[in-house]
Amino acid sequence: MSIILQDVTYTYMPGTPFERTAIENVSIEIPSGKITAIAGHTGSGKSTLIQHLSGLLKPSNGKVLVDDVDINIKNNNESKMARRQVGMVFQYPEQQLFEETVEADIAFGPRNLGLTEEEISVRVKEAMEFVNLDYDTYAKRSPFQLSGGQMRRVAIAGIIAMHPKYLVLDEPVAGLDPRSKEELLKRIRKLHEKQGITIVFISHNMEDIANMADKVIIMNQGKILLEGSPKEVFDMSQADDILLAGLLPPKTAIILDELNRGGLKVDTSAYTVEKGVELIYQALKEAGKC
Amino acid sequence: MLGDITLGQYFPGKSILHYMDPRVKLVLLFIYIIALFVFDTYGCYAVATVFTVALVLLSKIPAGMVIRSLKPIMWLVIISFIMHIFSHDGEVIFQLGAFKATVEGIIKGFLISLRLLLLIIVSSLLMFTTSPLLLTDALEDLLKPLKKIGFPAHELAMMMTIAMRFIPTLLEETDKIMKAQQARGVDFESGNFINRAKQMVPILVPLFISAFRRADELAMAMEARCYHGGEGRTRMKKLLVGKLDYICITWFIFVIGALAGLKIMEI
Ligand SMILES: Nc1ncnc2c1ncn2[C@@H]1O[C@H](COP(=O)(O)OP(=O)(O)OP(=O)(O)O)[C@@H](O)[C@H]1O
Ligand SMILES: [Mg+2]
Repeated sequence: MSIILQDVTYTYMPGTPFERTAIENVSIEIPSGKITAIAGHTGSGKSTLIQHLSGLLKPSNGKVLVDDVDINIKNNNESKMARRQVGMVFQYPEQQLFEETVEADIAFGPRNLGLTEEEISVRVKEAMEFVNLDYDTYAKRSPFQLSGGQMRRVAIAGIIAMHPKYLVLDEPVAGLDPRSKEELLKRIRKLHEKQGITIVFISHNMEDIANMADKVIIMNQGKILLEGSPKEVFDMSQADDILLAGLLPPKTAIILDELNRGGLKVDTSAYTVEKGVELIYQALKEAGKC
Repeated sequence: MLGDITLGQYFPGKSILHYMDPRVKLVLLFIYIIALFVFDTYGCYAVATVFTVALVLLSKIPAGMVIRSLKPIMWLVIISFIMHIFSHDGEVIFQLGAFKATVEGIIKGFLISLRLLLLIIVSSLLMFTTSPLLLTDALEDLLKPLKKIGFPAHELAMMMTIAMRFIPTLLEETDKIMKAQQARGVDFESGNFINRAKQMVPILVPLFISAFRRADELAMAMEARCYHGGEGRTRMKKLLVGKLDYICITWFIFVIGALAGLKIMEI
């Protein structure tokens, strides 16, 4: 059970002078039940890549399989059902709100699925709770009277209410203040833990990736540069590759590496702050310095 | 979806037609269109056809693109052709009820259709080889004399520039919003007319909101950069009529001369 991209190539506006191949021969697997993070420089093709996961872009070449079903077969029910397994939250999703009330906007997706009204209202409440919007306070408000961060939560709730098996988020925390950012990431992780939803998210922030992801994919110029567990990808021996892709490894990994070079014998396998602190403390203790 | 729509019609390239001054192109196009109507002998049509084809080759625009630009008016051409077949007196070929198809009608219909096609081809060549910005600049420049009688040449050009600048942006935005609503289960590809019309709401509302926001931001940004209308504004890139333009104008005069000659001699 997973989403598999086989040799996917996508070209924007083929046959015109504006032709541009955004991703080229990309083969990846998004494992089910895990959190996968995608990072890469601006224009490296991340957004293009993830739009293939739910069939919004059809590959110019190659195949996309969701749970072993090709999702790009026309007029095929099985293919359509497979596409529905994948929920997609775009960058700045608050720009797609259009209904008069928050409740109606969140209900839009479930209604398109043809659910009953009772079922819809259950799902709306549940989704609002998940993104931490109080139902009684916000349900009847216009989405356009909310703050940017709240609007974003409404938009995400609109997708969650469709109960996707895979949830794909394009830079979910872009443009949010640090606290809202933390809060939203925490909610996403909770969604994953509680309901076992598979998460795919794009981020420029290596700290967030290090904290959340089970699998990391680094893209560069339309190709996969690195792929693996955070431990493998953030191994400092590969730091040059990451720098090459226009990114920085997590700060913790950099600090541990520097300490090691500076002569403190410290285990460099950590990439999250908590683990890093622990390792440094240990190393200092061993060195008899505290 | 919308990905197939090219950004306007401009097709960047490096041909003589691309490098000509846009004002010269506009004026010559205007004269050429009038010439197509005034000079209407067989000989004139032959010369005009050759000249137009030569222009297409000169522009290095793929023939396919040029032909595609004819698509929207193809029906008009066909209908006018059929109407002409039946509406001229002369040697009858066949009869459909009260309508008589004549040889003269076919010839006339063919010529009129040809004129229409040539007209569209040269006009789209202008669009293909001139960036929208240059085109509005040229228009503003050509309309400048009318300012004396209160015609808002600058404002008009600025409005056109802004509109053209934002067409691709709005298309992109529409594409994005469509995709986002598709992700929420909207199905644009099937359903009857009413259903499809209903599905426009989730697209139009966000689109209008973002368009108004953009307009607001743009107005603010222009004001912040001290925009105060056309009065006393100078250009960074001045339009210049150069050697290439004079050569082209000379050639053009030859062609028009030839057309006029053929008309006078009624060839
Ligand atoms: N609608 C489009 N039409 C034409 N080209 C596009 C379109 N969308 C993206 N591209 C091009 O494809 C390439 C990859 O774009 P993409 O949006 O996938 O990048 P990204 O990795 O998501 O970047 P960012 O971090 O800025 O969001 C870019 O070079 C971009 O110019
Ligand atoms: Mg992107």
